[in-house]
Amino acid sequence: MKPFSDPRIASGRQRPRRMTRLFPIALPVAMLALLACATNGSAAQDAESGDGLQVTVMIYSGRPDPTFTIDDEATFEELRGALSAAERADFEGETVIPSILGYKGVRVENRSGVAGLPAVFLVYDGAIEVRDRGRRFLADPDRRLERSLIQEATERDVFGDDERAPGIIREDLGGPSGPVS
Amino acid sequence: MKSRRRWLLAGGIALLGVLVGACCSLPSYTPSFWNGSSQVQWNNNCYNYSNNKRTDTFAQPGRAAGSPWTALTCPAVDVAAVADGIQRLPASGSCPKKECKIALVVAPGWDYHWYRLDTNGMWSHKPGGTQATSLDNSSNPIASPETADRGPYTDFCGYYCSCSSKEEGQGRETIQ
Repeated sequence: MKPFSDPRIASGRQRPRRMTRLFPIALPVAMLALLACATNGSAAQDAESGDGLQVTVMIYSGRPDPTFTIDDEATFEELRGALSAAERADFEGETVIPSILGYKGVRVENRSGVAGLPAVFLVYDGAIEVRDRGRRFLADPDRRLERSLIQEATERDVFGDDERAPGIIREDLGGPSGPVS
Repeated sequence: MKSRRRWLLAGGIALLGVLVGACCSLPSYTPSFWNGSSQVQWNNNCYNYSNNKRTDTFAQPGRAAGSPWTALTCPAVDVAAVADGIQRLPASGSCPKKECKIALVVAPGWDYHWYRLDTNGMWSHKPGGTQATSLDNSSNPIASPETADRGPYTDFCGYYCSCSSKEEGQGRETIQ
């Protein structure tokens, strides 16, 4: 066996040139690979969005929040009615969802474009934030819409074996009169 | 020969750039990066924010290392974060390589939460998918995560060092 039988390799002169030839190819390939890694996460998230409305109960900080999907026309109609009946309200903050630890409200996303409902609405503590073409604020007297969404979440058992979450939400909604059992 | 030298010079500059880019630096309090769009705000949590790393995956301690947290206790989340490369704060009390000081707290059996120390000397955090803020649950600025109003997150676990960045969302730790 002749380890350096190729004179170009044995001389060591051609190696750098070969590398320089490869460099313009390798660089874009590496950049494309990095780009693919960077976009992987959001692609995975998009794949999760199905038909209907995605409802997120915003309660945790580190763990993923519990979510469920509303996909029946009767509930769509109830929500359309609730939002169209809600009165405009003045709201001083940037968003109705507070940056606090513990329960922070409910987020509803209309990713599949259910007719007659906004792209996103957020509900907390008597206020509704509607995000569609712009942003507007509505009133949610007695936290009725928020309570009904939490009720829906409870019936669907989205909290699983988390026995603490319903109590934290109940306390925020105002005691045992709230709908969370 | 000239071309070889040119390539060596270019390689040297690139290497220097990589080394400088890999250096840790402290973040300033710039919540607009995290609060500016729904995609960033809702898909990045307290672990993303404290490590100053946008992943859009609601990052979990230990997931990037293949060993995610197994219980919601200080020791279990600590082990998972250390597996990701986050270092426990040395006894000296300061991070040795200009890393950012971050802090872990836990609501026992329920959830965990992280804070970060900004260049202004105050702490800030991002409770889950909400906006990043410098205020605690009582709307007070956070001088110390140990004394801040943390709601149900009653257990203070300790301080850590994370290789952060001056640029928001560009922290150097590998989290997922």
